[in-house]
Amino acid sequence: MFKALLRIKLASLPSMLTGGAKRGKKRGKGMAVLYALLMVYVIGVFCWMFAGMFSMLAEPLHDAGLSWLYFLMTLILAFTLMVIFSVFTAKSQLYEAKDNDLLLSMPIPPSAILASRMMLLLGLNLVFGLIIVVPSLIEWYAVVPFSLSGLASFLLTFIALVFFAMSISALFGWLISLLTSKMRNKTLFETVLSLAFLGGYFYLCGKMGDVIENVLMSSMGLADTLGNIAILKCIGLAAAGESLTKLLLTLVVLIIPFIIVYAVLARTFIKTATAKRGAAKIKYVDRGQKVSSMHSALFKREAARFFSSSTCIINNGLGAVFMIVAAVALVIYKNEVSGFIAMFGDAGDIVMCIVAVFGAMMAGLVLPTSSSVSLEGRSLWLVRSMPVSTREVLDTKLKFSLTIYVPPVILLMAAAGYVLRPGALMLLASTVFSLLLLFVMAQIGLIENIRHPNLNWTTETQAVKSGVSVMISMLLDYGLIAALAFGGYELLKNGLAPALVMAIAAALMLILCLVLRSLLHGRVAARFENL
Amino acid sequence: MLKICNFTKCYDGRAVVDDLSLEVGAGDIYAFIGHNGAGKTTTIKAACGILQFDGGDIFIDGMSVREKPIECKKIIAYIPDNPELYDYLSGIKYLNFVADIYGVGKAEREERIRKYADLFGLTDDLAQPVSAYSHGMKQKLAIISAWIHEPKLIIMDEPFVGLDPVAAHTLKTMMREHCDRGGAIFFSTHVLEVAEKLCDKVAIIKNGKLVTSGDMETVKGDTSLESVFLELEGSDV
Repeated sequence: MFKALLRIKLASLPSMLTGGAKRGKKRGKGMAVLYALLMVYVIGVFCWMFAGMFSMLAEPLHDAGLSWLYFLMTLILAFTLMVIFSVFTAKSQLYEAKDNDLLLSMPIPPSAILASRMMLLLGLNLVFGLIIVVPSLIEWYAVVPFSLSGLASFLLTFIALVFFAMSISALFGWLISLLTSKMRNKTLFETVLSLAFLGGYFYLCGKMGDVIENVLMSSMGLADTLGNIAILKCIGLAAAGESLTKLLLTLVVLIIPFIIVYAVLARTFIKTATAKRGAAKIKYVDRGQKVSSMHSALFKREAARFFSSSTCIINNGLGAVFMIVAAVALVIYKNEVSGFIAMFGDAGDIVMCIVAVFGAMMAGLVLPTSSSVSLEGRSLWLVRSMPVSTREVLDTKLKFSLTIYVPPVILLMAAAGYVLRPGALMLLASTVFSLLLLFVMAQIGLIENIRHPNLNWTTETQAVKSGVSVMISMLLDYGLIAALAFGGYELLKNGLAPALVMAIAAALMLILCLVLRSLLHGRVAARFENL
Repeated sequence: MLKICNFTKCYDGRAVVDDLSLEVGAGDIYAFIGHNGAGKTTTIKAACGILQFDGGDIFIDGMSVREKPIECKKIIAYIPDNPELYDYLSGIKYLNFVADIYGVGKAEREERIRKYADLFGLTDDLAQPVSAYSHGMKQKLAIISAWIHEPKLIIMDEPFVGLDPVAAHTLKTMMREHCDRGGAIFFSTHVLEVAEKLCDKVAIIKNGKLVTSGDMETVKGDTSLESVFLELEGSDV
C-alpha cells in the first residue's frame, strides 16, 4: 500500500514539472531531460557558490585541529537551508493537499498517506542538504583525504539531520496551516512570513563573509563557544568521525524527534487534514454594483489572481522588491557609492550601464508572465468561452506584469541617475533600454508559458515555482542579458561612448520587442487557443 | 439559433465526433444524449468556440464560430460539466467580472444578480470566496453568470449535476422561461426523465455519430426516451 502511494506521488512528479499531457498529445522525454539538465545546472551553480566558501574554511580549520567545527558548520548550514525551503512545501503537501479527502476515503491507514508524503519531502530536504554537503566534502577531501569510516560517519549524521529537519518543517508547516486556516488575511500573513524566512536566509548569506572571517580569525574562540553547547559539539564530533559513541548519541538525538513528530501527526492526521478551512462566513450586503470596461475587468482579474496568493507575490514580485531595495540603498549610500566610483576615475556612465543590467537581472528572476497562463489552470475555459480575443487576454497578462515591474525599474534608474549624475542622453538611453528589456523578458515569459503550460497543477507552487516555462524563461532572460553584457563590453573596449552603447542596446531591444510581439499575436496566440 | 453542419473532430487521426449535424431553433430546449465518451462534451465545446475542429462548421445565429468567434460568444453562454470558476474571487466579484466582460449595464446587472441569487438562495454567500463554495454552489453561481447577460443561446454540459432538488426545479423553470422569450437551450444530460419532460427536441449520439434527432415526440414515439436510448445503445452503429 505504501509503495502504491509512493508510486502515485512519484508518477505525478513529471507532470508537476511539465504539466499533464493534453488529450491527443504525448509529452516527449526530451522535455523531462531538458528539465533535469536545467535542474542540474541550477544546483551546480549553488554548489559552486558554497564550494568557494568551504574552500576558505577547510584548511585553516583542519590545521587548527577543528575538523568537528568544519563539519558542524556544514550541517548547520544544510539544516537552515532544508528548513527554510521546505516549511511551506510541508504545509501544502502534508496538510492542504487536494487529494487528502480522496485518499482518506480509501482503506489506507492515515500513517501510510503521511509517510508517502513525508518520503517526498525527505527527498526534497536531501537535495537541499546535498547542495551544501557535497561541496563541503569535496573541499575537505582536497585538504585531507578522509577514511571510509569517517565518510560513513558523516553521511549517517547527515541523513539523521535530514529526518530532524523534516520534523521541524512538519511542525512549522502544521503551525502555519493551523494559524492560517481561519484567517481572513491569509495571503498577507503568508507573504510576511515568507519574506521573513527569505529575509533571514539573505541575512545569513550577507553575513556569511563576516562569519567566515570570524571563524578564520578566532576559530578557537568559536570552537569554545560552540563546544560549550554539548549537543552541538557531539554532532560535530560524530560528523567528523571522531567518536563512535558520539555518533550513536547523535543519531538517537536527531532521529527520535522525527519519530515523535511522525507518530503525533499520524495520530492526528485525519483531524488536521479534514479540519474545516476558511475564515468565518461573511454575509453579503448589497450595496450596488460597479461597472468596469472589459479591459479593466481583465486587468483586475489578473491583479486579483496575483494578490490572492502569497506564492505568486513572493516568487513573482521578489525582483521588484530587490529593485526598490537597491534604489533606496543607492540613495542612502550615495556618498560611499560616489567615493567608490571616484576611485576608478570617471566611471559613472559605466556604473549606470551596470545598474541597468542589474535591474534587468532582478526583473528576470521570475516575471509573472512566465506562469500566468499556467495559473489559469482548470478555469482556462472561462476566458476561452468569453467574447474576448486571445490578443486581449495575452496583452492584459503582459500589461499586469509590466505594471508590477515598470515602477521599480524607473525608481532604480532615477536613483542611479541621482547618485551617478550621468549625462541626459545616458540616463535616457539606459532607462529606455531597461524598460524595453523588461518588455522583452515579459514577452519571453508569456511565450514560454504558452509553449510549456502546466494547467493541471494541484498546488500553485507547481505552476509558479517548478514549471518548465519558469525555468526556461529565466535562463533565456539571463542568456540574453549575458549576451548584451558581453556585446556592450566589447563595444566599450573599442572606445564607443557608454551612452551610445546603451542607445544601440535599446534599439536592439526595440527590434526584439517587435519581433516577439508579432510572434505572440500570431503563432503563439494560435497555440494558446489550442490549449 | 445553433446549426451544426457535418461537424468532425479528430484526436490522433481518429474521429471522436464524425459528420454530426443538428439544428436548434429559437424557443427550443434541445437535449443531447449519449453514453460516456460518446462525444457530447467535444461537440458542446466546439459549439462554444473553445475547441477547434477538423471538419464541417458550426453557426450561431447565422454566424460561423470559426470565422466570427467573438461575435458568436457575445450571444451565447456556456456552463461546463464541472464549473471550475475563479477561486480567488468572491461570488459577487465573479458575477461582476462576467457582467463587465459582456458589457451588462449597472441597473440590469443589479436587478439580475438580485433576482437569480435570491432564486438559488445564494445571496448571503455572495461575499464568500468561490474557493469556499461547495460543488452545488459553484454550479448555481455558474448558472447565474450564464443568465446575467441574457444570451440568445445557452449551452450546458450536465447542468443538473450537483444541484439540490429545489435548485434543479428552479433551473428547469428558468430554462423554460428563457425559451418562451425566444431564446434557445442546448444541453447534455444523463437524466433521461428530465430530458423527456423538459425538452422539445432531442439528439442521441453514439460513438461520435448521431443516431437519431428530432422532436421529442417523434423520437420517442409511444415508448419512453429511456427505452429508445437503451434500444439504440444496444444496436450496432
